[in-house]
Amino acid sequence: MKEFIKRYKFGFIAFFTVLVIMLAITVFRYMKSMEAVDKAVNKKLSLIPEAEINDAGWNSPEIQEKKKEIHWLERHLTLAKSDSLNLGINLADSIVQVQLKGTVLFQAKIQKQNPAQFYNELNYGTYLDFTKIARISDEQANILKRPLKRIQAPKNEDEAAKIKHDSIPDPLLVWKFKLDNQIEVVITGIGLNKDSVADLRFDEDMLRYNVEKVKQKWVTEHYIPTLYIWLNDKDAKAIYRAIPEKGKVVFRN
Amino acid sequence: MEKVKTILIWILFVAAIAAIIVLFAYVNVNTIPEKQFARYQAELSKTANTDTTSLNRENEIKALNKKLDALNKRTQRLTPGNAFLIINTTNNTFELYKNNQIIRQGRCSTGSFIHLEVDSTKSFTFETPKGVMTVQNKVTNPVWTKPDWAFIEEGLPVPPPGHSSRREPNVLGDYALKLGDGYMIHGTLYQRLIGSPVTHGCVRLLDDDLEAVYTTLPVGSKVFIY
Repeated sequence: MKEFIKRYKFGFIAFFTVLVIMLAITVFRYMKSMEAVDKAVNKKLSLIPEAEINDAGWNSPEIQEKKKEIHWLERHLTLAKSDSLNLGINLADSIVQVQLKGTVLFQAKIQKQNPAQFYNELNYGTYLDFTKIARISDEQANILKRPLKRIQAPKNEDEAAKIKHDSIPDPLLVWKFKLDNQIEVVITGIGLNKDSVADLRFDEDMLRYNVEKVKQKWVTEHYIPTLYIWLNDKDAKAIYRAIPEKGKVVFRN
Repeated sequence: MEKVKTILIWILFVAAIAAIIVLFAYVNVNTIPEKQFARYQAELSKTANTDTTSLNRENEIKALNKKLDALNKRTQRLTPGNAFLIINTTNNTFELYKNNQIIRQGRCSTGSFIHLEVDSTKSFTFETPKGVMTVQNKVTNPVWTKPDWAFIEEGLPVPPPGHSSRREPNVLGDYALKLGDGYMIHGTLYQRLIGSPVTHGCVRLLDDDLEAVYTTLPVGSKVFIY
């Protein structure tokens, strides 16, 4: 055995060095990540009245369910006063909907969400904060909201006949937006494969998003929970293009 | 033989190191975010009051039910009770509602999103406006009054307003529903293009769909466009 260890000394040294380095990095990142979570929790709780956090009725499932429905309807009535299209994300029924003036114009079924249980156990105060009408503060997408095709007016009929209408590339939608109540939402379109069957790549997508996050920020300083939602691509694009920039969003769980 | 054994052992070392790297990378990339969210949610679910004995449950449920009924009634009143039309400009589809039921749905054509630049001061964007509009007027056998852009995009000189070359009958189908600001729901000669974003901002329908929409929607009906 001793002979073996001596013979492959460099192999063992390399193995344990990598192990220690990876362990140290992971522990450091874990500690920092949890520190960021604690900061975010304290910040959130400092904004919520204690009476709401400790609402007794919330502990009764029947009362809780009714209160959730009441808040959802109240938010709808408030949004109905606005002239702009807004987004409703109903996690309880796995539905994303576009509404205007209180009329639901479009509904899409959530095919998958991650985390599977997003904010399903909150105290009353934080539930109210989660479901209040939020505004999109920052958004990015891989396609344009208004897919404008610029063309120069032709000078005569010959030139007009030569104008080509190039098609705009149409990748599967990835729409990321941050809300002013400190929630990030990522909506991903699901395409069809060559047999016209939904091409599900949830794990691949999640890995890609998580890797992107680590690349962007090696250590988390400000924690914002992220809700990942997958919709059929056509539905996702219709919703993305319907909701105006800085649009309003309301949740139900 | 001894050489092969040595090589295999070194391959094993490299594989073990690679496995360690992959394992920790997975923990960093996937497990830590999961743990973060679990902790965040757990902290936000904490409440100091788990005692429900002081609660008059029945009375509270009664009050909540009353509130819920009132809210449901108010919410239902928001959706137009009579006929209305919903246009999806991304998928180029429509849904016609009457008494809160879909009575017809199908394809339509909406704005092409072409931005026609004439010069540095003049341009046109062929986009169907989003929001809620109202049927202001209904016309049979509509005649199209060609706007400036219809001449500009064909490379033709723009005639003065009211010029006879601006009037073009038989191109808008049998009916038109005017929505204001020059926007209309009408028919088309190019039926095979229905379902594609090809219009200058109006909504085009197939002949049968247009007739159904025309007969169902009275003046004053809402048209929701998103």
